[in-house]
Amino acid sequence: MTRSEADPANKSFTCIVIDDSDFARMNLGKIVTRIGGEVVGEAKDGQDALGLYKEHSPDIVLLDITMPVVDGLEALGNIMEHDKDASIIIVSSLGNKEMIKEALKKGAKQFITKPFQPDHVAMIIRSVAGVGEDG
Amino acid sequence: MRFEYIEPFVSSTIRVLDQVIQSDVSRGKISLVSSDEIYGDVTIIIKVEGDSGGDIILNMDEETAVSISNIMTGEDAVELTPLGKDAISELANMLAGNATSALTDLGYKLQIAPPSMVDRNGLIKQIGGLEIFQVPLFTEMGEITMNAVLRVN
Repeated sequence: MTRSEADPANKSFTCIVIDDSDFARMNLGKIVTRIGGEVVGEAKDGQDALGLYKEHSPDIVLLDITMPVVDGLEALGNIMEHDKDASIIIVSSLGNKEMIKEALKKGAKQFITKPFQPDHVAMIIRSVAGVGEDG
Repeated sequence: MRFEYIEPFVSSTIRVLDQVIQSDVSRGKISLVSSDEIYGDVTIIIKVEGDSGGDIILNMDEETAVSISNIMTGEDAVELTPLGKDAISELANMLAGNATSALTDLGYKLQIAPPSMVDRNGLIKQIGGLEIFQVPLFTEMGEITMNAVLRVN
């Protein structure tokens, strides 16, 4: 994307992406970059989430739930315990009511169900990060 | 997993496939088969636990897997690349996650494990001797077979 194509309302924000799928992290990373954000760290498992969060203090965390060792709900709890103001967006295929309720109760700001529409994800990230909206 | 799970599973699977690969999807008949009757070069297995355990298995031939992964990744690959494999696994995760969520919203308690891609020996090791409900799904990229293994707790 050239500079002139970027949304002038964008301001930069940092983001970490935690998902066991390389494909999912790549896709989410593309969306973050497109709206003016920077992916400063990535992890494939919830067990690395808190360490990554402490290392980068990102503006946004994109967090999957189903992961091999420590799942996203536990990682969400760990990060929220460390920083109650963390801005965590769950991006998971487990979009059932109970899971959404639990994630929001634990402090997630938003819940995005996979498969997702990139524009929808962009809108949610912008809204949680407090950066410019389209149009 | 129980038999009454199968229909919500299939409906959810068709909806997600339609969304991810942008293809019309039609379904064949459900049949009860043995593990010897699961064919296909590419097999992904996802364990289901909760009210009743089991496995969800997706399989397809390599050509279908390559066509689908190319749509997902934007690659123009002629064989399954590491990213393509990961995309197919993520597709299985999305199918299983949405299917179990449809059932969770009906009041069942089910959790899924991350997907793993297995070869024929790995598959037989995990599900050999068990009965499997099989549903063929026909897409513009080829046939995907969804299999549900029911484990009696």
